[in-house]
Amino acid sequence: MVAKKLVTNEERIAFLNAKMEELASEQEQDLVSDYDQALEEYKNQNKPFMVKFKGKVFEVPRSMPFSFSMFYMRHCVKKVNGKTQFQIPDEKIDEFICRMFGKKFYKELELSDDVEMGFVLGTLIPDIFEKWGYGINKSKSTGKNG
Amino acid sequence: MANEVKFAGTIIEVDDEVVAKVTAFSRNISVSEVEVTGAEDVIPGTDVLQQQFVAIAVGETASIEGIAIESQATGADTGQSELKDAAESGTVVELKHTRNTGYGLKLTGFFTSYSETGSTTDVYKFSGAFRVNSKEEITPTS
Repeated sequence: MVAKKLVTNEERIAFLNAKMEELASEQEQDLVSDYDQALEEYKNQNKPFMVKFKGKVFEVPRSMPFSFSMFYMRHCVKKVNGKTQFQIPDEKIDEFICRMFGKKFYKELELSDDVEMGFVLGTLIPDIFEKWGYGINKSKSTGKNG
Repeated sequence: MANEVKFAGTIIEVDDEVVAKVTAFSRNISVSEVEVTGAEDVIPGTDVLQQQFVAIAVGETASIEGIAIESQATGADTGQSELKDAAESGTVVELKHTRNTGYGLKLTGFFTSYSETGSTTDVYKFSGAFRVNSKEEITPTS
């Protein structure tokens, strides 16, 4: 039963108008699809890989991040003589590694004087790709001219 | 609902008391006819008759949707709206729809079908068909 007794017609019309606004607002909320919770559940079910490097443990996403895949498809996949080739443009190597390994891992790599580019391009990157389900021929994944 | 028109200021009254707000309605006219074909109504040059009809009765219904105030009757809570109270007893109700100009139309009649769904917001959503028995213009001064 309505909490407050509505006596006059003016009160009743005002009440109905207010309820109409409430219902319209509820309808608008129903139109919003909220995927935040779904993303959290997805993350919980797909825990990241743990990568040990220089005595520290870093997280690598369980599958290829969407942002990375967009970057990768846009800049690193080329058609050469009808064949698809994987090439990292020189000017994009920094961004590629940062997007793939995350900022913390990238920082650690950047501060490590004893880590060679060949190790990053020939071992780390192909291994991560393999974890994500994309096999890369390690012998050829050595940068722009590889 | 086909050909529906939305009026912001459409309300339903029972015994001069506002019980619901209409959010959409469409008016439907039906005309009853009778055949008056005579022997003279022949298609020229043939022996075939051209049927002739005249209208003998006009009926009007309105399909409406809206929200209705929950019943404020004292005593046992019937769990339905005041409008449903009226609909299920065949009570005459008045549907007033007015434009921003203040002019409008008052339709008087009763519900021939009615359904409503409850909610937690003190109002019921309803839809139904309304038999229009009479119409009266509303002017800003009335």
